[in-house]
Formats: sequence, C-alpha cells, structure tokens
Amino acid sequence: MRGSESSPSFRRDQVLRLDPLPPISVTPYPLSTSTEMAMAMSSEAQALQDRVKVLSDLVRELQKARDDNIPHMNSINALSDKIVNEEKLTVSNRTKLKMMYEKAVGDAEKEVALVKKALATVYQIRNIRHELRIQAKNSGNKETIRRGALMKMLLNCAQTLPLWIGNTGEKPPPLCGAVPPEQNYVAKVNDMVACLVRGSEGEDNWILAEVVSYNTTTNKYEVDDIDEEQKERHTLSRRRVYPLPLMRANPEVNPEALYPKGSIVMALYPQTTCFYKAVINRLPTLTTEEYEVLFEDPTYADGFSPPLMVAQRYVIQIKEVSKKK
Amino acid sequence: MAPTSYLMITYGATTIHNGQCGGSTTLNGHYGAPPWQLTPRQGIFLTAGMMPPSPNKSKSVHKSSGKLFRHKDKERSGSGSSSGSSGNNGCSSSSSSSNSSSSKRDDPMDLKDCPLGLPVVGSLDHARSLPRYTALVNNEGVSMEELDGLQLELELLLSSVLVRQMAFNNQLSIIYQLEKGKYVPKPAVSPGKKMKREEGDRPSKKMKDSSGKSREVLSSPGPPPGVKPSKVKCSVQKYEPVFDVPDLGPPEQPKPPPPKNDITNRFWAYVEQYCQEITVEDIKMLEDMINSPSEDSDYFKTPPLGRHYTLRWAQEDLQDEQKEGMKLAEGKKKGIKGDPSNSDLSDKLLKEVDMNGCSDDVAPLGPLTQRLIAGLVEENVLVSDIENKGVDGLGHTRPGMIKSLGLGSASSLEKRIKKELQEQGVMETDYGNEDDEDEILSELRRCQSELRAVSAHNVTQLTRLLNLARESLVRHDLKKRLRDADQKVVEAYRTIAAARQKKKTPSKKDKDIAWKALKDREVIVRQLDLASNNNC
Repeated sequence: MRGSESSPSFRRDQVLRLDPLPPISVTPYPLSTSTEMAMAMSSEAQALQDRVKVLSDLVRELQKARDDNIPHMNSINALSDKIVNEEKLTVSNRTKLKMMYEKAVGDAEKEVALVKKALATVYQIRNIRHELRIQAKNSGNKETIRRGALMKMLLNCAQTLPLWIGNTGEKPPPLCGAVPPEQNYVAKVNDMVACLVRGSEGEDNWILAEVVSYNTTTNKYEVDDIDEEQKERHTLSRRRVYPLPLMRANPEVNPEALYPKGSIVMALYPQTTCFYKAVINRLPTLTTEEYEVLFEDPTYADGFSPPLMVAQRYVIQIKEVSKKK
Repeated sequence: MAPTSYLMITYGATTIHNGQCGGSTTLNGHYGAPPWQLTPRQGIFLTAGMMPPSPNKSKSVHKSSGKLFRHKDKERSGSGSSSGSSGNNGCSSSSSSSNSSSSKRDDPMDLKDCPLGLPVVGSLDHARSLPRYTALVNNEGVSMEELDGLQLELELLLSSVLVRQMAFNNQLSIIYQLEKGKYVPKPAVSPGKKMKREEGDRPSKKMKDSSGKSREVLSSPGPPPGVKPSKVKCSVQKYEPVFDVPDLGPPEQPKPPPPKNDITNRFWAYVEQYCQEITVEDIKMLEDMINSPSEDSDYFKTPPLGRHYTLRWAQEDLQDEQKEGMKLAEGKKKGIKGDPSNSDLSDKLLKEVDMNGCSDDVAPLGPLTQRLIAGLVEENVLVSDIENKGVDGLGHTRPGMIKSLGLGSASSLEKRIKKELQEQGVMETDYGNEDDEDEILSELRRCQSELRAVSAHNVTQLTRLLNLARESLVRHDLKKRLRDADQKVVEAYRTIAAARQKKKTPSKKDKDIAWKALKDREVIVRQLDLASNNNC
C-alpha cells in the first residue's frame, strides 16, 4: 500500500493505495430473533429509516465530490511525471505544483467534512438501534447471554468502537487508543472498564466489567462483571478500576496514540473476559487492524504464548496496584 | 523534440541505406566518379535531405543539404541531418540556461537535489475495496447488519483522505520554504518511515537515553535558599544522581554571602547556564535557528571550470616577458603605451598554440564525431581516394568547407552529437560523467554531500530540541505550582511545630490544613511525573 516507486534517478512517495484493502469482516452483534422483531416493530423504526435515507444521500454526495476530485489528482500526477522526466524543477512548475496542491488540500478537506457527516449519521443510527435494543430487553426479553454470544458481542464492540478523527495537528485526546485518561477521570455509567477483583481463591484478576455507578463520597465504583454468569457486583476503589479506551486511534494519522512495539500492556485474552500481562509484537497498520500481542504464559517454553490478535479497545496500560491502603 | 530528431536520424540512415542497397551505380559512381560527374547525385542527396517529415527542421535541413554541393560523402548528409536536429536542441538548451541565469532562487533545481516527494496520489478505489459503501452509492440501500461494516469502510475512506491531505500539506510546506529561498535538505524517503514504524522502540529508546540525560541537566535546580536538600524529597530526585538536590525551580539568587565565600556563588553561576529553566526566548532562538535562511546554498554550486592553469600561466608568462621587454624598450624610447594591446597579442599567441587540440582550423571534428563518421564511412575504400579525401584530412583539403557547414565549433558539435546519440539509445549515458572528473571536483562533491548531511542532521536535532523545550515549558508551570504547594506544606509544618513547642496538640484545623497541603502537593508531583514520563 505504501511504497516508493523508484525511477532510475528519483524516488517518489506512493500515497495511492494500489492494492485493494483486505475485506472487512465484522462480527455481527448477536441479536436473538425476538429482539430483532421487537425492534422492528418499535415506534422508532421509522426514525431509523429516515436516518438511513439521509445516510445514503450523504454517501452519494460524497462519492460525487470524490469523482470530481479525481481529474485534479490526475493532473497532479501528470505534472509530477513531467517534472521527473525533465529531471529538474523549474520555478513555473513549482508554482503550478503549489497551486495544484493547495487546491487538492481544499478538495480533501471537503471530502473529509462529508465523510465525517456520513459517519455521524451512522453513529446516530447505531444509537437509535442501541436504544431500541435496550427497550426490547427491558420490555420482557430477559434472556441471559450465552458465552458464545457474549464473545461475539465483545468483538463487535471492539470493532465498531468509534475512530478518533481530529483536525490536522490535533493531538489525540485522553482515552483514545493508548493515550492515558486524565488524572481525575471518572468512568461513566455503562462504560466498560478493567478492574482488579479478588477471586474466591484469593488471587487477583483483572476482569472486564461494566460501570454501574460511582460513589463520589467514598470514591468507589460499583461494577458488574460482564460475564453475567458471575452475577457479581463489586465495589472497588478508583485505583483498582481502569477505564477502557473510548475511541480507536488511526494508525496512519496518529501513530503516537498506539502502544509502541515491545511495550508491556494488559490485554484481554481472546475468548475470555480477563486481562493478562502481554507484550506488543506488532502494531496495526490500518484502522481495521488489531494489535498482535504475546501473552506472558509460563506453560510455554519461552515464557510467551504464540502471537494473538487483540483489538485496540482491549489493550490497556499496565497498572501495578500496591496493596497498601 | 526527441521523436522528431529520431525520425531525422533514422531517415538519414535510411537514405544511406537506400543509397547503399538501391543504387550500386550511385554508390560506386560516387566513389569512382571524377569530380565533374558529381552534380547529378547532388540532386539525390538534396532531395533525400529535404524529405524528413519535421516541418520546423526543414529550414535547417535545407541549409545543411544546400551546402552539400561540392562534397558528396554520405557521412556529410548523415552529419548534416543530425547537426540540424542537434542545432535545434542546442537552441532550446541555451534558452533554458538563460532562464537559470536569473536569480538563484529561481534556478531550476536538479531533481536529485529536490526535497519534494512528488507523491503519486489518487482516490481509493471504492468499487474494489469498499463493497458496502459501493452498494450504498449505487442506491442499493443498506441493511442494519451491514451498518457496522459500513462504519468501518467509511473510517478507512476517511483515513486515506486524511493521509492524502497530510502528504499535500507536507509538500506545500516544503514548497513554501523553497520559495523563500531557504535550502531544504532532502528528507528521508519512505524506507525511513518504515524503519521508524518497525523499529519504533529503538529511536524511542535513544530518545529516552538522551532525553533522560537532558532532563538530568534541565531539571536539576539551583540551590533553594535556606532549605537543606535532604529534607524536601521529590519524586524527580531519582533522575538526578549527580546533584541530589530536589527540583525546585530556577536558582534563586543566594543571599549576599560573606565576601570570603565567593566560591559557591561562582560555582552556581557557572552551573546555572546548564540548569536554568527553558524560557520563551530560548524557544524563539531555537525556532530562529531552524528557520534561518541558509547561507549554504552558495556552497552547493559547482563553479564552472576556469581556464586551464597551463593556459593561464602561459599567458601570464608572456605578459611578464612583454612587460620586461616594455621596460627595456621604455628605457630606450618613451611614451609607449599599450598594455591592453599587449595582452591581446599574448592572447593571439596563445590561441595559436591552443592546448585543447580542438581548434577549428586544425582539427575540425572531435574524437566522437570522427568515430561516428568513421563508422558511417564505407569500409572498402579505394586507395586512390584516401589520398584525396581521407577522413582526417578534411580540414586540410577544404579549410573553409567545414566552417561553411555551420556545425559550430568542434567541441559543441561533439557535445551535441553525444547528446543525440544518448537520446537515441545508441550510446550509453554515462551518469555522473558530465564534467571531467578531477580530484578537485570529486572533493568538492564529497564536501557538498557532507555539508548536506550535516545540515540535515542539525535541522533534525534542532527540531527535536525544540519539541523537548516546548514540553519542558509545560512542565515549568507545574513546577511553579509545586513550589507553591511546597510553601504551603512548609507553613503547615511550621504551625504544627510551633503548636508542639507550646506543648499544645495542634488543632484539628491545623492538621487538616497540613494534610490538605500534603495531598495537593502529591497530586502535583504525580502530574509532574506523568508529564515527565510522557515526554520520555
């Protein structure tokens, strides 16, 4: 995707993705048919259709803008080719190139604005569906989620976590990718967190949980284990609770918001709901990719498990909690 | 220009070819015929010369073929047509060189010096890579299950547009700098970027070491007045093994010491330049250093070769001798002027003994031209003709002939032929051999590349320092707050100590104040830690 095309005398950057992107496969959110039907019959279903229509209009507008921009980019490529063939950069070519680049930057900004609008509409649709889902659940479809469905839900959650898109030069905010949360950050209700709980045999585990409430006087969280089989509600101090990132970081634009290779992190072991110590082996290169990590595992010869893929959402900073206080 | 000249040359070749295979009579006739029979074949050559399809060259071809009256060698026609094309080439190159003779900022820059990446840009092919998006574009609607996939596709699209925008912005900033006339070092191309990504920890580790050291220097403080270092512990202390003094901000002026104890003052004054806090002026200075217009651009030009030193010395020797002669002559006669005329005389003398060996009268054709012509000359040459019209004897037999061809001087003809042959692919382009490689030029080039590398390194280091300085400014504020918090802690301690002295237990209020002060200070310390850790 990103390479440099080398002519005998000059190397050029390649910003155009030549190879097709790997197909995106999203684990679907597991919904039972009854929930689906309840959602479809809900009063808000019409709002959904409206949003979908808005979305398709936006997408068409976006595509039109993109098609309009293609001839400009072709002319930029043609001018660059000409310069490479002449083997020198004259002033007139430079000014022409400058004007073309400035125009192209304006075009790109327009495209970005349109895509952001489309994404916002998608988020709206998703929110509506989320509401519908909660409504359907509360109105009587109280099924417990089986383990398989839970895992799929976790995967889906991670894949569809919103991507953080900032303007040029903006630094990623806290809780985007690897950026740590602010000092006094308090996780909100229904946020996912990783928390250190004491198991029945006395060992400590970092588990995945959902925030139920936060008590400001005692500074303690009440969390629910996401694995409903446990049905335990823990009350933990702030130091034992670490919020999961709320947004994904874009590896192409903000590589500084990713954990560097070789750093030690806590990562969710695939198909479980527990976090273990791991070391980062490979970073994602596309927004849809995941980290490749090696878990600390004494059962293997070299002390590490084979590389496993973990989504950005389930990789957090390692936190050593002292047992005092 | 190239295609037409190609046609010219091939056409020239084909005429020769035709001449060779078509008319044996003409060929042999050409060589065997006595001079007065040459006229009919002139016609053939003339028409042959006129037929090449390039309209803009026809004039020159006419001119050159028109000059074929007397002499009929095929190589003449060949060289005539090639000279016609290369004549045009020469005109164009001279016009471009006149462009470059304007201000140095407007020089056409050689591509190998050009810092621009000239990226190949394009739009993501959504038909191949984004199926759900494409479906929506084609008005096929989207189902709810596909919504997540659509979101991811849109994010990918957005990311590629942003990458494109970043690339454009980078190129634009480089162009702006070029326009201001600054020298921009050629940045590392994508292999460097890839390296950064794959071995990301190595440079970050290096930064950690170097920034650890620089932090050591920057963050260790001056002497806090009146407070013993061991009492106030600070978490930053572990980075300062050298000084073992807590980080409490800029060195404040110690109280005027007794006159004997000047040594400490001098020590701290000396150390202060290393331990001072970074100020806004420092940042400005760094920025100026990075952005200052580079005066090095002169160094990168290769000055043209001057006159060869032997020529110059010969001329100077002649002039000296003439001066000597003049002086002697002046002793005899008076009022003889004429230094300028004497220098003219020495020039003329020197021209006659031209060292280049390519003066027009003596050797009208350079070595390459001679080789080319020799290649075009028919092999089986009758002996008698060699005496008359040998290849080398062109100048001798017809001195005015060659000049009248309008080929220009031999050296320029040489160059044009060379360029023409290279463009045709007949001769290999010799890269990097444009100038005669001598030691001075190679040394000059070596120094230029070293200068480039050093300035690029300087710029990267300065930007690195600038970033560190900016971040340390942020820490500066935190350190101020830390100082205030420390003051509060100390005050609280004092009240409690005073209370204890009076044998009273300190009041609850005092205790609370003390605890609050301590806790606030801890928070600030943690923030400072975080800021310092983030910088590493």
